[in-house]
Amino acid sequence: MKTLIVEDDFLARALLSTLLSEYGICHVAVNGREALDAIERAFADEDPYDLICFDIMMPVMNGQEALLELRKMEMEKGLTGQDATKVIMITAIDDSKNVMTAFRQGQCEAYLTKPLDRHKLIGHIKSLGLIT
Amino acid sequence: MNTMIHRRENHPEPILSPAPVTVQNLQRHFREVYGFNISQTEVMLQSSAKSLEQAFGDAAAALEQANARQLLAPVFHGLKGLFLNMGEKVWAAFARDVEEKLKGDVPVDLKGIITVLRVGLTEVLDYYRDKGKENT
Repeated sequence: MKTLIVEDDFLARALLSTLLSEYGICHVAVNGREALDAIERAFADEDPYDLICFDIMMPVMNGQEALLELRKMEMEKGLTGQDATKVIMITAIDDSKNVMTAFRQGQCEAYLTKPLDRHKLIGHIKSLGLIT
Repeated sequence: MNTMIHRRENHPEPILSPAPVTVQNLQRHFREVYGFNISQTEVMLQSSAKSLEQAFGDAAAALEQANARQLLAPVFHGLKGLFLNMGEKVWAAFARDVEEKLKGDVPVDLKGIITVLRVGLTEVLDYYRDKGKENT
Protein backbone atom coordinates (compact mmCIF):
# COMPACT_ATOMS: atom_id res chain seq x y z
CA MET A 1 0.00 0.00 0.00
CA LYS A 2 1.38 3.40 -1.01
CA THR A 3 0.10 6.17 1.25
CA LEU A 4 0.28 9.94 1.26
CA ILE A 5 -0.21 11.63 4.64
CA VAL A 6 -1.24 15.27 4.33
CA GLU A 7 -0.97 16.92 7.73
CA ASP A 8 0.66 20.09 9.07
CA ASP A 9 1.07 18.85 12.65
CA PHE A 10 4.26 17.00 13.66
CA LEU A 11 2.60 14.59 16.09
CA ALA A 12 -0.29 13.64 13.78
CA ARG A 13 2.20 13.01 10.96
CA ALA A 14 4.38 10.88 13.24
CA LEU A 15 1.38 8.88 14.50
CA LEU A 16 0.03 8.20 11.02
CA SER A 17 3.37 7.38 9.42
CA THR A 18 4.32 5.04 12.28
CA LEU A 19 0.99 3.22 12.12
CA LEU A 20 0.74 3.05 8.33
CA SER A 21 4.38 2.28 7.52
CA GLU A 22 3.66 -1.25 8.79
CA TYR A 23 1.60 -1.71 5.64
CA GLY A 24 3.80 -0.10 2.99
CA ILE A 25 5.49 3.08 1.88
CA CYS A 26 4.34 6.40 3.37
CA HIS A 27 5.01 9.85 1.98
CA VAL A 28 4.14 13.07 3.80
CA ALA A 29 3.02 16.52 2.70
CA VAL A 30 2.42 19.46 5.04
CA ASN A 31 -0.38 21.17 3.12
CA GLY A 32 -2.80 20.63 0.25
CA ARG A 33 -0.56 22.28 -2.34
CA GLU A 34 2.39 20.03 -1.49
CA ALA A 35 0.03 17.06 -1.59
CA LEU A 36 -1.20 17.89 -5.08
CA ASP A 37 2.40 18.20 -6.30
CA ALA A 38 3.17 14.75 -4.86
CA ILE A 39 -0.01 13.29 -6.36
CA GLU A 40 0.81 14.73 -9.80
CA ARG A 41 4.33 13.28 -9.64
CA ALA A 42 2.92 9.90 -8.64
CA PHE A 43 0.49 9.91 -11.59
CA ALA A 44 3.31 10.97 -13.93
CA ASP A 45 5.42 8.06 -12.66
CA GLU A 46 2.42 5.74 -13.16
CA ASP A 47 2.71 4.82 -9.51
CA PRO A 48 -0.28 6.56 -7.89
CA TYR A 49 -1.15 6.52 -4.21
CA ASP A 50 -3.50 3.80 -2.96
CA LEU A 51 -4.54 5.87 0.04
CA ILE A 52 -4.44 9.54 0.95
CA CYS A 53 -5.10 10.78 4.49
CA PHE A 54 -6.06 14.46 4.51
CA ASP A 55 -6.19 16.81 7.46
CA ILE A 56 -8.59 19.68 6.75
CA MET A 57 -7.32 22.85 8.40
CA MET A 58 -3.85 23.48 6.99
CA PRO A 59 -2.02 26.57 5.74
CA VAL A 60 -1.60 27.35 2.01
CA MET A 61 -4.33 24.93 0.87
CA ASN A 62 -6.75 23.08 3.11
CA GLY A 63 -7.67 19.41 2.84
CA GLN A 64 -11.15 19.96 1.40
CA GLU A 65 -9.77 22.08 -1.45
CA ALA A 66 -7.00 19.59 -2.13
CA LEU A 67 -9.49 16.71 -2.17
CA LEU A 68 -11.64 18.49 -4.77
CA GLU A 69 -8.55 19.18 -6.87
CA LEU A 70 -7.57 15.51 -6.62
CA ARG A 71 -11.01 14.45 -7.87
CA LYS A 72 -10.77 16.94 -10.78
CA MET A 73 -7.35 15.54 -11.65
CA GLU A 74 -8.74 12.00 -11.58
CA MET A 75 -11.76 12.95 -13.73
CA GLU A 76 -9.42 14.36 -16.38
CA LYS A 77 -7.56 11.03 -16.36
CA GLY A 78 -10.78 9.03 -16.51
CA LEU A 79 -10.23 7.63 -13.03
CA THR A 80 -13.60 7.33 -11.33
CA GLY A 81 -15.41 4.90 -9.04
CA GLN A 82 -13.23 1.99 -7.99
CA ASP A 83 -10.25 3.45 -9.89
CA ALA A 84 -10.27 6.67 -7.87
CA THR A 85 -7.81 7.10 -4.99
CA LYS A 86 -9.15 6.04 -1.60
CA VAL A 87 -9.29 9.02 0.76
CA ILE A 88 -9.68 9.22 4.52
CA MET A 89 -10.17 12.60 6.15
CA ILE A 90 -8.58 12.83 9.63
CA THR A 91 -9.36 16.09 11.40
CA ALA A 92 -10.38 17.81 14.60
CA ILE A 93 -13.27 19.45 12.70
CA ASP A 94 -16.47 17.56 13.45
CA ASP A 95 -19.20 19.88 12.15
CA SER A 96 -21.74 18.33 9.81
CA LYS A 97 -21.04 20.83 7.00
CA ASN A 98 -17.44 19.68 6.67
CA VAL A 99 -18.38 16.02 6.97
CA MET A 100 -21.02 16.33 4.23
CA THR A 101 -18.71 18.32 1.97
CA ALA A 102 -15.99 15.68 2.28
CA PHE A 103 -18.38 12.83 1.48
CA ARG A 104 -20.66 14.45 -1.13
CA GLN A 105 -18.30 16.76 -3.02
CA GLY A 106 -15.00 15.09 -2.26
CA GLN A 107 -16.28 11.52 -2.31
CA CYS A 108 -14.02 10.54 0.56
CA GLU A 109 -14.26 6.98 1.82
CA ALA A 110 -14.12 7.79 5.54
CA TYR A 111 -14.08 10.75 7.89
CA LEU A 112 -12.28 10.25 11.21
CA THR A 113 -12.10 12.82 13.98
CA LYS A 114 -9.13 13.30 16.30
CA PRO A 115 -7.93 11.72 18.51
CA LEU A 116 -6.60 9.29 15.96
CA ASP A 117 -8.05 5.85 16.70
CA ARG A 118 -5.70 3.10 15.53
CA HIS A 119 -8.39 0.43 15.36
CA LYS A 120 -10.88 2.58 13.42
CA LEU A 121 -8.17 3.66 10.98
CA ILE A 122 -6.92 0.14 10.28
CA GLY A 123 -10.52 -1.13 10.16
CA HIS A 124 -11.40 1.37 7.43
CA ILE A 125 -8.31 0.52 5.42
CA LYS A 126 -9.15 -3.18 5.66
CA SER A 127 -12.74 -2.56 4.61
CA LEU A 128 -11.43 -0.65 1.59
CA GLY A 129 -9.51 -3.75 0.62
CA LEU A 130 -6.14 -2.03 0.79
CA ILE A 131 -4.77 -4.43 3.40
CA THR A 132 -5.85 -7.83 4.63
CA MET B 1 -9.60 17.58 38.22
CA ASN B 2 -6.69 19.60 39.66
CA THR B 3 -6.87 23.21 38.60
CA MET B 4 -4.95 26.36 39.34
CA ILE B 5 -6.59 29.74 39.07
CA HIS B 6 -4.64 32.56 37.43
CA ARG B 7 -6.24 35.96 37.97
CA ARG B 8 -5.37 38.78 35.62
CA GLU B 9 -6.27 42.40 36.30
CA ASN B 10 -7.40 43.02 32.73
CA HIS B 11 -9.60 39.94 32.52
CA PRO B 12 -13.06 39.74 34.06
CA GLU B 13 -12.90 35.97 34.52
CA PRO B 14 -10.14 33.78 35.97
CA ILE B 15 -8.34 31.44 33.57
CA LEU B 16 -8.80 27.89 34.81
CA SER B 17 -5.67 25.90 34.12
CA PRO B 18 -5.85 22.13 33.71
CA ALA B 19 -3.35 19.99 35.60
CA PRO B 20 0.13 20.10 34.03
CA VAL B 21 0.97 17.59 31.31
CA THR B 22 3.61 15.09 32.43
CA VAL B 23 6.09 13.11 30.36
CA GLN B 24 5.15 9.96 32.28
CA ASN B 25 1.46 10.29 31.34
CA LEU B 26 2.34 10.95 27.73
CA GLN B 27 4.60 7.90 27.57
CA ARG B 28 1.85 5.77 29.08
CA HIS B 29 -0.69 7.16 26.59
CA PHE B 30 1.39 6.36 23.52
CA ARG B 31 2.28 2.89 24.83
CA GLU B 32 -1.21 1.90 25.91
CA VAL B 33 -3.41 3.57 23.28
CA TYR B 34 -1.23 2.98 20.23
CA GLY B 35 0.85 0.01 21.38
CA PHE B 36 4.10 1.78 20.59
CA ASN B 37 7.47 0.47 21.76
CA ILE B 38 10.04 2.59 23.62
CA SER B 39 11.69 4.14 20.56
CA GLN B 40 8.33 4.84 18.86
CA THR B 41 7.06 6.41 22.08
CA GLU B 42 10.15 8.62 22.18
CA VAL B 43 9.44 9.79 18.61
CA MET B 44 5.88 10.67 19.65
CA LEU B 45 7.11 12.63 22.68
CA GLN B 46 9.55 14.60 20.57
CA SER B 47 6.89 15.17 17.90
CA SER B 48 4.45 16.40 20.57
CA ALA B 49 7.03 18.87 21.84
CA LYS B 50 7.85 20.04 18.30
CA SER B 51 4.15 20.61 17.62
CA LEU B 52 3.84 22.59 20.84
CA GLU B 53 6.91 24.71 20.03
CA GLN B 54 5.45 25.37 16.58
CA ALA B 55 2.15 26.45 18.11
CA PHE B 56 3.88 28.78 20.57
CA GLY B 57 5.90 30.28 17.72
CA ASP B 58 2.76 30.82 15.65
CA ALA B 59 0.97 32.31 18.66
CA ALA B 60 3.83 34.70 19.42
CA ALA B 61 3.89 35.85 15.79
CA ALA B 62 0.10 36.28 15.79
CA LEU B 63 0.18 38.39 18.96
CA GLU B 64 2.35 40.92 17.13
CA GLN B 65 -0.33 41.46 14.50
CA ALA B 66 -3.36 43.76 14.55
CA ASN B 67 -5.64 40.83 13.66
CA ALA B 68 -4.21 38.59 16.39
CA ARG B 69 -7.56 37.02 17.30
CA GLN B 70 -8.23 35.98 13.71
CA LEU B 71 -4.74 34.49 13.39
CA LEU B 72 -4.90 32.75 16.75
CA ALA B 73 -8.17 30.87 16.16
CA PRO B 74 -6.50 28.29 13.84
CA VAL B 75 -3.57 28.02 16.26
CA PHE B 76 -5.94 26.98 19.03
CA HIS B 77 -7.79 24.69 16.65
CA GLY B 78 -4.47 22.99 15.93
CA LEU B 79 -3.71 22.77 19.66
CA LYS B 80 -7.10 21.12 20.24
CA GLY B 81 -6.27 18.35 17.76
CA LEU B 82 -2.76 18.03 19.14
CA PHE B 83 -3.96 17.65 22.73
CA LEU B 84 -6.53 15.06 21.64
CA ASN B 85 -3.78 13.00 20.00
CA MET B 86 -1.67 13.43 23.16
CA GLY B 87 -4.53 11.97 25.22
CA GLU B 88 -5.00 15.28 27.05
CA LYS B 89 -8.77 15.74 26.86
CA VAL B 90 -8.95 18.51 29.47
CA TRP B 91 -6.32 20.55 27.67
CA ALA B 92 -8.15 19.89 24.38
CA ALA B 93 -11.33 21.30 25.92
CA PHE B 94 -9.31 24.31 27.15
CA ALA B 95 -8.01 24.95 23.61
CA ARG B 96 -11.46 24.46 22.10
CA ASP B 97 -12.93 26.97 24.56
CA VAL B 98 -10.33 29.57 23.58
CA GLU B 99 -10.88 28.84 19.87
CA GLU B 100 -14.64 29.33 20.28
CA LYS B 101 -14.17 32.58 22.22
CA LEU B 102 -11.81 33.89 19.54
CA LYS B 103 -14.29 33.04 16.80
CA GLY B 104 -17.20 34.42 18.82
CA ASP B 105 -15.54 37.74 19.59
CA VAL B 106 -15.64 37.06 23.34
CA PRO B 107 -12.98 38.99 25.32
CA VAL B 108 -9.99 36.78 26.21
CA ASP B 109 -6.72 37.44 27.98
CA LEU B 110 -4.50 36.07 25.25
CA LYS B 111 -1.17 36.64 26.98
CA GLY B 112 -2.55 35.07 30.16
CA ILE B 113 -3.72 32.03 28.21
CA ILE B 114 -0.32 31.61 26.54
CA THR B 115 1.29 31.77 29.98
CA VAL B 116 -1.08 29.12 31.33
CA LEU B 117 -0.19 26.89 28.37
CA ARG B 118 3.55 27.39 28.82
CA VAL B 119 3.37 26.62 32.54
CA GLY B 120 1.17 23.55 32.02
CA LEU B 121 3.42 22.16 29.30
CA THR B 122 6.78 23.00 30.88
CA GLU B 123 7.75 19.39 31.64
CA VAL B 124 7.20 18.24 28.05
CA LEU B 125 8.98 21.23 26.53
CA ASP B 126 11.92 20.91 28.96
CA TYR B 127 12.18 17.17 28.31
CA TYR B 128 12.44 17.83 24.58
CA ARG B 129 15.05 20.58 25.05
CA ASP B 130 17.11 18.33 27.35
CA LYS B 131 16.92 15.49 24.81
CA GLY B 132 18.03 17.89 22.11
CA LYS B 133 21.09 18.82 24.16
CA GLU B 134 21.90 15.13 24.71
CA ASN B 135 21.81 14.54 20.96
CA THR B 136 24.17 17.41 20.09
